[in-house]
Amino acid sequence: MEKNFITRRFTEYRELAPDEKRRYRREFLINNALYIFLIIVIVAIAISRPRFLSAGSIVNIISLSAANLPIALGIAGAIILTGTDLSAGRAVGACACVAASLLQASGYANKMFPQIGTVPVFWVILLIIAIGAVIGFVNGFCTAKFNLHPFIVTLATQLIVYGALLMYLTLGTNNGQSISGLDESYTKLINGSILSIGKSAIPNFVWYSIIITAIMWFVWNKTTFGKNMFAVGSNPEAAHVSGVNVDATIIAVFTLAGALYGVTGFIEGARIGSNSAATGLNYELDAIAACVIGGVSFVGGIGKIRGVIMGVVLLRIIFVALTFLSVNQNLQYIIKGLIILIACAIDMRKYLVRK
Amino acid sequence: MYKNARVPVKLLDAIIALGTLALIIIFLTRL
Repeated sequence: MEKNFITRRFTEYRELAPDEKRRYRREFLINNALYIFLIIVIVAIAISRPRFLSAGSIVNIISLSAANLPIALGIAGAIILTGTDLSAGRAVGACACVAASLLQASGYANKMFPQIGTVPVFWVILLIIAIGAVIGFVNGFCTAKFNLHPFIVTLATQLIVYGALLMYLTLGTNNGQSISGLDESYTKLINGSILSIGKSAIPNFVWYSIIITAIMWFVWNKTTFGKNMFAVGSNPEAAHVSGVNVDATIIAVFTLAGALYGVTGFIEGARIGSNSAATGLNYELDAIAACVIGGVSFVGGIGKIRGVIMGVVLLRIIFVALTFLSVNQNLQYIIKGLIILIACAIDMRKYLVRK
Repeated sequence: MYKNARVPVKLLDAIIALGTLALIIIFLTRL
């Protein structure tokens, strides 16, 4: 099927007039600029630093991508509604800290709540998802019912969540320190491994991330809610006239996104191992960048799960490549900014062509 | 925001092309 598609495109290309061919080539290069850049980067680094393509490095890229995938999937929903979510990173941080505080090992000297022991992991997962969902619900409710822009609503919730997190970290015996000494039941569930590539173990959270992605694919593509989300994103008035409950859809999208931040927080809590108020800082920016790179359009109503995955992986490959080349941190910010700018420009260009 | 936008497409193309070129040059000079 894929081969037929490529052959068909190639035949079409061969039949074009010379000046059309030139235009086609230009369009192709510009629309795929970031992918071309990525291929050049991978080939160049693979030649100069062969370790970049070692099993360990690939597992590292996969794990870091998997850790960030749920948050990106959540934010992608908000972007499809022409919104955004700035509270995501702080929500992840808060969820990670709450999960870590409840799942510290019983004998740990600096245990935050020594009197409650270690809570069963299952209840903590439910609690963390609920906390994330409540944050998302507040975002969605204010956006839908008060007709406020998600940018400003989520900016407010970001600050509220951060303040609440700082206060939470002073509870018990903790006194604002970072939370570590996690229980084995928690760390093994997330960081344990059932499969290895070479000598590099694939952590369990990669599988959780794959399952969540599959569920989100189903929700986006096979459910009425998913179709409503795209309808509201592309034209809320038309969706309303067609009988879609616009407010409920917006609230549900943000609440689902919040639940996904909860899941990311739960994973991050154990993955990082030592959680502080800085956990989750700027995660939303990387996730938004990944979504834009993956073709989730700020125009609204456009986006695919595979695009989000591509965006997250592409961004991660570039970050790992930058670390491999020991690129200065200051320059890394410039590169990140340039990538986002190019991705937005490509998105705008594709939109203009469609129009 | 995007609706009815009058965008200079050639400038947009130039930004994409030059930006990508800049990224490639940055990476290749760090190898």
